[in-house]
Amino acid sequence: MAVRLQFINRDKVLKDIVVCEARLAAAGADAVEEVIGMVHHDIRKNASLTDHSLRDLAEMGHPYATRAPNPPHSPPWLVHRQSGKLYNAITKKTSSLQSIIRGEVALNVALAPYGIFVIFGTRKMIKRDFMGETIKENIDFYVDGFMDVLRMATVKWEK
Amino acid sequence: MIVDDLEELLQQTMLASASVKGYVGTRIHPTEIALVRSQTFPCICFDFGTSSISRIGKNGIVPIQLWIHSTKDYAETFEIFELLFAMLHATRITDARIHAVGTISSGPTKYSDGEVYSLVSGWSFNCIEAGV
Repeated sequence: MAVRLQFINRDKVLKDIVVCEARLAAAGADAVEEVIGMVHHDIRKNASLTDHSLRDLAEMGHPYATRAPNPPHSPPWLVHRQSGKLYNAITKKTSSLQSIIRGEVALNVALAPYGIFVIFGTRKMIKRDFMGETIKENIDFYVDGFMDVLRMATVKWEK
Repeated sequence: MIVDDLEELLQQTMLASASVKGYVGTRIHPTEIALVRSQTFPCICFDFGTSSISRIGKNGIVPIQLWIHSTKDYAETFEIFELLFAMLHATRITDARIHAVGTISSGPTKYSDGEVYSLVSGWSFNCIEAGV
């Protein structure tokens, strides 16, 4: 017994696949851009509390110092904005190559060299990884955001 | 608790190495350096932090951060890091309570406050409670 398959309208199907790939690639770039924007916004927000000045923190007994760590916020890794240098040193970038779309949120240590001390801690100051912890806290939200953009693109395409 | 067991296993494994002990003695702390009471160098610190642990039954994936601190120079931190890397990366370590295989996931990144030279790396340990 033989099974015979006939590929009807092959050229049209192949053309549709190419168009679909192009649209998905474009939507993927949009999705990465969207998510990177969300991550960048959230990290900056978590590194820019304004409710305590340096003077307040000194009066509180330096709550991030080794001798008696007692962070005033929950979660404890939130960071106050003072000069704004750290805030401005948090950058975002996306790049789209033929086979891969990349996005990153980074801390430019040339603009805020002390940022690395805040993130990893020192012998005198507890660590507050506001970048890693922000992502961990919101990872489901970012994945949903990414999928939503792709879903929207697919719906538009179906219409 | 998988974290307590892994903490003890990591300390035991590092202390069992004469080479590591030659550098840091018994100064292997399961917390970040800021929370170590009497700080002497060089030393190794590792911390489970607030990271979530993925756990299914007796299996778990535990992320940790690992620091090497030295008051001498970066070279010393790298020498210790090489020893730890050979000991922990993609290698099965085990005791009566837990089996674990570590993988380095970020770093090593160096930074210094001018007095202490630090090398930090991120790791992920796949763990299985013994008796499975």
